Amino acid sequence: MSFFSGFKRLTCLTLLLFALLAGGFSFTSIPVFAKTANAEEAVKSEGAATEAVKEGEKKAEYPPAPKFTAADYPQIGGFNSRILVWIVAQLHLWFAAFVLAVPIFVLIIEAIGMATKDQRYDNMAYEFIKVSMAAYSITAIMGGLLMFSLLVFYPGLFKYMASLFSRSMLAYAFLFFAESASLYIYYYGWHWLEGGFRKWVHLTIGLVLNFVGTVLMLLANAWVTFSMSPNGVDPATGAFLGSEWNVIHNFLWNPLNLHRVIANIAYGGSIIGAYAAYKFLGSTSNEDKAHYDWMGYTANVIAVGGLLPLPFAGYWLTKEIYAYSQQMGITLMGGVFAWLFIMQAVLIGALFLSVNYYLWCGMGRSEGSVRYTKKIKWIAAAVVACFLVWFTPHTLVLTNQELKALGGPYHKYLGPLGIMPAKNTAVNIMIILTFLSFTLYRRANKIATVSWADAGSAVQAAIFTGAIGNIIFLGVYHGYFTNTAYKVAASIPQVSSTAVVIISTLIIDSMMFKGAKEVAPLKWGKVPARSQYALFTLAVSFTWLMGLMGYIRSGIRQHWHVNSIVRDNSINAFTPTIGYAAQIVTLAAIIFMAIVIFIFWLSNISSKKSAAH
Amino acid sequence: MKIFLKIVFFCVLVFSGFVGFANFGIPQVKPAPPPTEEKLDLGNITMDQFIALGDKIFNGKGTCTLCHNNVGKRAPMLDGAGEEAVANNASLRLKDPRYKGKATTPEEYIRESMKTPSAFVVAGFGSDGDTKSPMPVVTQGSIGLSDAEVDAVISFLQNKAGVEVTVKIPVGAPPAEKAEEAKPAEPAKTPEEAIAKFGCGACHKIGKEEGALGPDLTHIGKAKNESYLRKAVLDPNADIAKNCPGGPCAPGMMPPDFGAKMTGSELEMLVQYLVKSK
Amino acid sequence: MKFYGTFAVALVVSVVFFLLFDAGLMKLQGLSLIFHK
Repeated sequence: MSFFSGFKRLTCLTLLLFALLAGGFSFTSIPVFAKTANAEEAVKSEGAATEAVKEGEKKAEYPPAPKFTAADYPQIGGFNSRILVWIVAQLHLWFAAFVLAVPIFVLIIEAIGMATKDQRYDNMAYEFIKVSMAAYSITAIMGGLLMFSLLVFYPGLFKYMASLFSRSMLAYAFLFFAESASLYIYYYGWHWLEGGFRKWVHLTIGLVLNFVGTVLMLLANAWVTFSMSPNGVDPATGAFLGSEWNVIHNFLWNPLNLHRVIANIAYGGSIIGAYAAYKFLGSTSNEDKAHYDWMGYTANVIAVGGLLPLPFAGYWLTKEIYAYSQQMGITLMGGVFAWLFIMQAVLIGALFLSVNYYLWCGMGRSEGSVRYTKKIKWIAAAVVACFLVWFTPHTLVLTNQELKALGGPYHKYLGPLGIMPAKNTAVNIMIILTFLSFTLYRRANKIATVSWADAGSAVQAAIFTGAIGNIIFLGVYHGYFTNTAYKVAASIPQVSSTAVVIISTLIIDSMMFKGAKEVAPLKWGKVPARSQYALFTLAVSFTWLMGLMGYIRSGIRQHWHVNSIVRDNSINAFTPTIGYAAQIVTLAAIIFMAIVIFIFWLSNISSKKSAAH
Repeated sequence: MKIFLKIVFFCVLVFSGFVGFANFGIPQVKPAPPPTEEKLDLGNITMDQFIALGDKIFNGKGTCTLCHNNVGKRAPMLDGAGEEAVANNASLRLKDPRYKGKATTPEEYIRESMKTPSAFVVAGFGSDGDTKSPMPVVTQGSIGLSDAEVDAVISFLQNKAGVEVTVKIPVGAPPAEKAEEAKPAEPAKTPEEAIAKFGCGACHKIGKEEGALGPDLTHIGKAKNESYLRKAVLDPNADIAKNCPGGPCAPGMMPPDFGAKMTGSELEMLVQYLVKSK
Repeated sequence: MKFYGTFAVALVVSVVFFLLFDAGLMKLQGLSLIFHK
């Protein structure tokens, strides 16, 4: 069968499905971008809400939200219900992120394999999906455990949520038929659906798998974001107002959706990278070493690809939190949760440093990288400097004596580095520098053959320099010489400058290195063992970071099950200190790591069987 | 195997780094526990106490200082004594052409700004050209102040600004107190319940309580008989015990009105409990 | 020398580009590039 007739048929199908997904996503996003209500409406609606509270006589078709007392929370088996649900939910999220992410890049790698006709990509894609199979059932186990825990320990709350989300919860359950069917056919039918048209069918099944998985996540995101920014219920009584779409489509739903899609990709890449690192270190033959080194590199590229836009998805999420409730936003970043963001800074610094370190170690694979090795120490110094700025706090928590000695809650010279404009400047430059490491790595082994190569590089260097200078200008000028509105607004041109650098460099590179010559074949496998530990650091830091941010997202509700609608009156309703939260996150992360090692071991023993043949 | 252990050790090391930094490298800020409903005994409160209540709410449950502070300039300062104090400049704002509300006096203005914040947005603090306020409605949602609590805050602000406090202490209990009164006064069913209800543990060591002002009652059944103990509860000053934890016992410390407050069954139950406390 | 020459020209162009770019993005948010109350 001709390659192109299948191509036309199924490309149309896949493009249609993508368009539906993208269209549905943006359609539901539009109200988020809609102009805020004008002033009179604001006054009227505030007044009306107050009036409604006064009268309390709203015609309710649905009962008001429950008011719990300590007696409504069953105490069973000596479990601290709060900690149990926390750990189980976090484990579920880690595994779910992984099993949603893997099909995304497996699909892409499979497609690349089809386009380049390079069998290695196809084999690697198959190996990735194999790893995620055991993870899939563990995700389901955790999900089941989470649901049972909620039913047993928080029955009243679950009843309320189920009454609001009845249809979507049923849809969620039924969709698992589609998810399982597509995953199993995609995996088990990998070699059955080979060649020509059948390969296109296989690819489409992979697309369906991704689509269903995404919808499942979107539904679950609705329950979670409803707890933070409830919509579609009476603000005074919590009674359901009738439209399930309104409770789903609450303020923070789409920001979280976007954030989780991107973060899943980055996270999935990092876990696969850890898998590859684990196999690399255990490999004995050069062939195996080369294979797993290449896999680790690919996984790292995926992780970096997801990591670069992630701060901005996070920034949008936080911006929407502020827009929804300035109180929540300030508690988050200026109140009791503020110091958690210093912890986040440390973790993100660890991520960027390991990514860059891995790329620098990897330069050794190419002989052509010698011309760049001198530059690396400058990039390293700059990344570290950015990290130090990124990590410097603003308001210090001091005793009275310290306050007197310092003359205020801020450090005289370092304090100004603690405000948001400085942070935005630092992170944008860190991203550009990481991208620079990546660019240098990619061209290390290439010799451009186009006549304008020097000029092209000069232009790229100018764009990098101009962008970095621009970001610093915006950060310093708007950060320290203007007011709040300008400070916040300046972050948009900063991130756009970063985007300009990345996009323009990629475009110029693709043109400049067309038909480029190789310096020498890349020596896959010729990397120091410490580079693999950089991959572990990536996976471990990512996992811990997700745990921390998950705590923040959930904890920001403080003593509410559903913010300002359903009070948490259980005896475990306390907001822990960061040290305590860190301990729980670490405990959960260690459990996660143990299960992941189990999964890697499973893939080991199953591959041993095929080696015997 | 060796490599596997190396990897596990490395990962645990990295985790330890993070949890160690979170516990020792960062100040442990302890978030406030969930707020409780203020039990306001408005029948007996003085204006000074009412203002103090407003201060407590302003700095606590009301979460006002989260935004109305000197850091970050997110909201106008309210509680000073100068021009910036809202109690002082309210009358100016009422005359401002941008004012959209219905208040006529400074007190009404402050109250309105808590219930419909967008009625007037101070220049530079709002969105949409300073027409929409980011302030939440204080009487609803997660803050949920009662009308009495709102009045307490207003009295605090007026007092701080040095102007006359025009707020009247609300007569008639707020809903919180009504709920308390509505509960039928059932007699305590167990000695422990009675001990808790009448606050014996505030002064005495008894049952699980560890009060240290009055005599230790945990073995009082050995020292005194039933009729003495009954009289001690009903008429405490008839015979003052010799030894209290802090020195000789002072007269007039124990409430003399338990006879009026307790039901017969509660008294008997407590006396039998004390008799049995050998 | 050719590299540095091209770099200098390209740098000037990119600075101009970025300033216009900034001004446009700030205008989209209802503000100007240069701060004024």
